[in-house]
Amino acid sequence: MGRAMDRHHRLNQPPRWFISATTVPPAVIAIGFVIVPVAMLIVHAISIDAIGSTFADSRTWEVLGFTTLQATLSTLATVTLGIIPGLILARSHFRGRQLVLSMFAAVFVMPTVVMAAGVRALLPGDPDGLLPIVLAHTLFNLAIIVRGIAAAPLPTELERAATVLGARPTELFRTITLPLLRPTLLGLSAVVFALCFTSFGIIRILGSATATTIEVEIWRETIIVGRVDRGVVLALIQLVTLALALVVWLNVRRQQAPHRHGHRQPISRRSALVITASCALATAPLLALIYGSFMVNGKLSASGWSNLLDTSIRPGLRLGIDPAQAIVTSLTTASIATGFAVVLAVLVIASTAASPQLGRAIDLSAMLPLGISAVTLGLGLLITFDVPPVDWRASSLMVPLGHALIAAPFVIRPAIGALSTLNRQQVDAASTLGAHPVRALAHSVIPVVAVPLLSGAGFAAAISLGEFGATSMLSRSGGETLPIVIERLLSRTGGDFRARAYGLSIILASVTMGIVVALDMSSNRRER
Amino acid sequence: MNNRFLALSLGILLAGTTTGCSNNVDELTLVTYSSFPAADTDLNDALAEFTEDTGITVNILNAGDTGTMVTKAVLASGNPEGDVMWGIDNTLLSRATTADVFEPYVADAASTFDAQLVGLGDGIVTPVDFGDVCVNYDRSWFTDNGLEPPNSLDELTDPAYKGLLAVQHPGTSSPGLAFLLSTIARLGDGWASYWQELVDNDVLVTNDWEEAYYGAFTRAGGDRPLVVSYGSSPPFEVLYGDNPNASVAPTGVIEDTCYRQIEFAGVLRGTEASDEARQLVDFLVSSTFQHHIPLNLYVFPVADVELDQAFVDHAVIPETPPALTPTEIDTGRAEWVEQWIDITG
Repeated sequence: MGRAMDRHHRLNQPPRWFISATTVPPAVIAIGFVIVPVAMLIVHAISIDAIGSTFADSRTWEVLGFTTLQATLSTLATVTLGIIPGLILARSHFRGRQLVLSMFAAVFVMPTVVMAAGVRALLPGDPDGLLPIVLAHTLFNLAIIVRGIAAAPLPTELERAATVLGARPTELFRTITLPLLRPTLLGLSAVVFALCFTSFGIIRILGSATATTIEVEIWRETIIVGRVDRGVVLALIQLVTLALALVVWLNVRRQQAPHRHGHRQPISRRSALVITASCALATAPLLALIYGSFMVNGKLSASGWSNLLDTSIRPGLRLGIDPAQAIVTSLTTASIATGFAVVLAVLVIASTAASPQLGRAIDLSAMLPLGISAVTLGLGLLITFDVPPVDWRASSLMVPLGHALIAAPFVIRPAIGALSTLNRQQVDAASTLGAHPVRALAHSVIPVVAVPLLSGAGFAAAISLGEFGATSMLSRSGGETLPIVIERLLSRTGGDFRARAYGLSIILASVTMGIVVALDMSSNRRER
Repeated sequence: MNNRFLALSLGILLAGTTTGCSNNVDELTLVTYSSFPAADTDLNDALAEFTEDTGITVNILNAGDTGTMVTKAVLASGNPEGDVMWGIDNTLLSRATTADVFEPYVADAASTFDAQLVGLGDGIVTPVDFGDVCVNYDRSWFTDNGLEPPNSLDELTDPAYKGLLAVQHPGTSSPGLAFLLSTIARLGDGWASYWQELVDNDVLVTNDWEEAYYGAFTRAGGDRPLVVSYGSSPPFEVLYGDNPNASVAPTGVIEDTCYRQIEFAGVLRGTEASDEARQLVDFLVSSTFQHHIPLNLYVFPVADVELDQAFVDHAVIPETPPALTPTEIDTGRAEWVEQWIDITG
C-alpha cells in the first residue's frame, strides 16, 4: 500500500528538469555571490595568529555577550510590543488599516542616523548604552512582527467556536491563539533576532566601546585598525553563533496546521486604542524627524524644505550633492533589487513546491545572508570579482544585487511558510485527473504564495530604499542612493543641511509607505 | 534543457553586469573617498578640462569612506580597482605603503610645495591638500555668558571651562583620532595625564562628528560651546549661512589645538596605464584643479593658488602645526586608542 502510494506520488511529480531549472540558478547565485566571496576573503586573510589572539582576547567574549544580550532583549521587547497590535490588525478591518501597516514599514527604513536622533530625543540624559539600543531596535523591527502576524492565517472560526463554548479571552489566547501562532511567531522572531544580532548602524551611533556588537567590531578591526585577519575570525564567530542560535530556535518550530484566513471583524474600541498607542510609539521618531526638518541652528525655519532639492547654495557655489538624482537612483536601485529578489524567490518557491524535502534546507539557508557581515561580504566580493571576464568591482549592478541578497530572505521565508498550507492531495488529484504536473502545481501554488510574495516584494523594496551599510561598503560609479546622500548632508558644516537631510528622510519614508501601500492593496485584492 | 536555462541566465547576468573598466588608455579610473563629488561641481569641470587637453576620460570610483577605501586598496594591491587614488591621509598612509599599494611617483610640481608635507609622502605619493582638525567655539555663547573662549590646549583643562568641551571617540571618528594625535604631538608622554585632566573637567565623548557638531554643540541646540571640528568649519558657516558677507563667522577656531591632516594622491600599482596615471597626478596638483579644492572638499590646496575671500577672512591656517609621521601613527595608534579608552572609560 505504502509503496503503491509512493509510486503514484512519484508519477505525479514535476519532471526532473523543472526541479533543476528552479533549484540551480538560486543555488548558483547564493554560492557565487555569498559563499565563495566570503570563503575567498577568509582564506586570503585568516592566520593562526589572528585566530589565537582573537579567541584569547577577553574583549571578543565581552562583545559576543553584549551582542547576544541586546539582541535577546530587543527581540523580546519587539515581540511583546508587536504581538497584540499584530493580532488586532490581522482580525479587524477599519479605515486606514493599510496606512497603519505601511507606516510600520516606513519606520523600518528610517536612516539609522535619524532613528538614533529620534531615540535620543525620547530618552534624554541617557545617550548611549543598552536601553537606547534596545528601544531603537524595537521601533525599527516592530514592522516585522506586526506585519508578519497581520499577514498570517488566523484561526478565527476556531476561536469563535471556543468563545461560544464559554472560553474567556485570556484562556482563548493561551490555549488556541498562541499555540497556533507559535510557528509564525518563532519564524518572525528569528528574523528580528538575526537583525539585532548583526546590528551595525544603530550600534555605531548609540553604542560605546563596551556596548557594541560583533558586526561593529568586525568593521572596527577591518576598516579602522586594519587587521583584516582578526576581522574575518570575528565574522566567523558571528556566523557560527547566529547559525547555532537559529538552528535551535527554528527547531522549536512545529509543523504549521493548515488553515485558511478567517474573516476580519470591525475593530472594537479597546483594540482601536491599542492600535493608536502602538502607532504613536512607532511614529515617535518620525515626528522627531518632522520637527528636526524645521529646525535650523536651533531656530524654527522652513529653509530645509524650500532648499530641499537644491544642488547649489547660490550661483557659483555648488554642493556636489543632487537629492533629486538620488531619489531617482534609489527608486531604480529598489526596482532592480526587488526584481532580483522576487525572481530568486519565485524560483525557490517553485523548487520547494516541487520537492518539499528541500523546503527546510532552503528556509535555513535563506537566512544565511542575515548572519554574514556586510564588511566581510563587501570585501569578499572585491577580491572575488576582480579578474576579467568577471571584474565587476565597479559594476553599477553590484549595489542592487547586494540589496537583493539582503532582501531575499524577507520575500522567500513568508512564501515558503505559506507553502506549508498547500494541500498536496489536491495537487496529486489534479495530476491524476490528467493535468501536467507543473501546471497542476502552478494552479495550486500560485493562490497560496501570491499574497506573501507581493507583501514580501513591498518589504524588499523598502529594505533596498533604506539600505546603507552594504551600499557604503561597495564601490560605486553611478549616482548615490538617498540614504547615502542623507548621510553626506549630515556630515557637512553649516547651513540648513541637517534640516534638508531630515526632509529627505521624510521623503524616503513617504515613498516607502506609498510603495508598500500599493503592493499591500494589490495583494489584498488577490486575497478577495 | 536545464543546461540551456543555466547558460541563458548566466549569460544575462554577464551581459548585464560587465560594464566599464576597459584597459584602453583613453580612460582612467580615479579611486576616491565618498565625499569627493562624482559630478556637477567645479572639480568635475576641471577634470573635463583634463579630458579636453589629453583625450583621457576620468571615471570617478567612489570606494567608501577613507578607511574603507584604503582597506580595499590593500586587499587589491597589485590588481587595483582603478589607476589613481585620491585622498589617502597621513593617518592611513603607512598601512598602504607597507602593502605596496602604490607605484612610487611624485609630481614634479611638488618641489614648490611645503617641504614638510612632501616629505611625509616619502617619495611614494604626492600631497594634494591639507586640512586642520581644531577645537571650534560658539562665539555668541561665550559673549552671552561673559566668558573669554580658551586660547590654548592647556586652557581646556581650566575649571572655568568645565563641562563645555565635546570631542569624538578616536577609535571610531577621524577628527576624534586627529585630536588625540594633536595632544600626543604637542604634549608627548604628558598626553595621558592631560586627558585625565580633560576627563576631570567633564569632557563629553561622542561616537562621531555629527553627534558632536549637530547634537552637543550649542549652535545646534546642545550644551557644549566647544567642539572638535575642522579649521575650515567657520568659513563654511559663513558661506553656507544666511549672510555670506558676514564680517565675523559665528564660530571661531582655537589655533593651538589644531592638528594637520594631509591627503595624498598616488599611482596604484598594477595599473595598465602608468604614464597616463602620472599625467593625471600632475594635473591634480596643477593650479587648474587645486583652485577648486577649498569650496568642494573643505580642505586647503598644496599649490600656491588664490583662496576665496571667505577663507581669507574666516579660516585659520596655522603656520606649522606639529605632525606625527605616518609610521609613528601606524605603530602607535592601536595602543594610544586603547590607553585613551582606559583613561576616559
